[in-house]
Amino acid sequence: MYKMRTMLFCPANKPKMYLNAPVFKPDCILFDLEDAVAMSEKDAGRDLLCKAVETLEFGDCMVFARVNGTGTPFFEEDVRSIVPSGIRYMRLAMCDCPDDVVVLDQLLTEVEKANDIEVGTVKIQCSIETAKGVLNARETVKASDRVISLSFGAEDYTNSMGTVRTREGNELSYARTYLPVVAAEAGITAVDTVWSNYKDEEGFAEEVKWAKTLGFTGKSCIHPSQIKIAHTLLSPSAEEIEHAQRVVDAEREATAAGIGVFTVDNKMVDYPIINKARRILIQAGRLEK
Amino acid sequence: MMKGEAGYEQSQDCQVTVKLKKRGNLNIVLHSKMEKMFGDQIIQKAKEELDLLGVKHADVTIDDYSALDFVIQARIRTAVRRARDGEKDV
Repeated sequence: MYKMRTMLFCPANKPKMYLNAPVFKPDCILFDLEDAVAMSEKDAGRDLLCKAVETLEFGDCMVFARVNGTGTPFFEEDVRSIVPSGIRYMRLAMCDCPDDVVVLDQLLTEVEKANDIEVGTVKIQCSIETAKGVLNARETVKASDRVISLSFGAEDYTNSMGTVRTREGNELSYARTYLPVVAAEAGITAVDTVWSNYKDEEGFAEEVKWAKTLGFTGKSCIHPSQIKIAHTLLSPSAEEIEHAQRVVDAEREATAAGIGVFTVDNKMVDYPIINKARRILIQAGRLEK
Repeated sequence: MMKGEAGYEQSQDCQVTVKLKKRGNLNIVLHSKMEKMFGDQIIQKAKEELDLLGVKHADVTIDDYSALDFVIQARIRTAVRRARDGEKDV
């Protein structure tokens, strides 16, 4: 699974963002051609994104573009422009059903062939942002092998539900509980929605903790100040790593001694616990996949 | 003569105006605080982009607010397209 603890939103039509965003070292930078760019500036955002990707180095950051939804007049031109320039990860806005992914998949295949890019190179993140999108998510993420993750968009989701976002987030419970299960079944990464009040760092931290508990491994961010908080909370703690290492070490010793069942800290260790320990060490970069 | 504009009066951005003509070659006017240091380079990058877009005759004005090369080229690209779209609409 891809490491996407943080995805920093940047309007694609703001030159400053291309230079500033990598400095904060998010796992992913998401240049937004959708809501953050005015209708009259879609062409300018696209041109700037293309030139930036052709010219700049973004280090270890995965560079995503959020393209306009398949039902908009901008979708096709977004895809045709940015793939030749070098974009390899796309977040598809308003991903409501499998057909949306199929349409993007087919267009990507056409553009890849036309530009001598290996078919399947460009990967997709499905942005689930409506009630329909949530209910169809299980099928949607399986509509193409290109899908590597899903993200949850709460603003449009609450709009589709006829409700509003609150600090507590109870209105998001169903979607937030369901989408990580969908992602886990499909073997893809789940990225949680944005926390809009960037000055409320306490609220942001609480939301990240809750998202992690539910199974999200990433968070969309709208401000650089959110990155460090999310990285800390979405990475294994020192205690978790230390315990996981002892479990894996104990397993190695038990296997060498021909012992099937063993204990760590007076607790029986079986395969689910060993697998969890391995996952933590892989996340921490202490163990190869 | 069709005109296209792109960019904003903001730090690290630039405003580009392109007027496409039938003849008269390229006439590029640059306004920039960095003109003494980087003026030649900015004009060169602008010419490269215009050449890439097949623009041979145009009046181009660049109001630069410390934009990097990729920004200037992107804004030229957008302004040229907008000028050409204007031509089609006539």
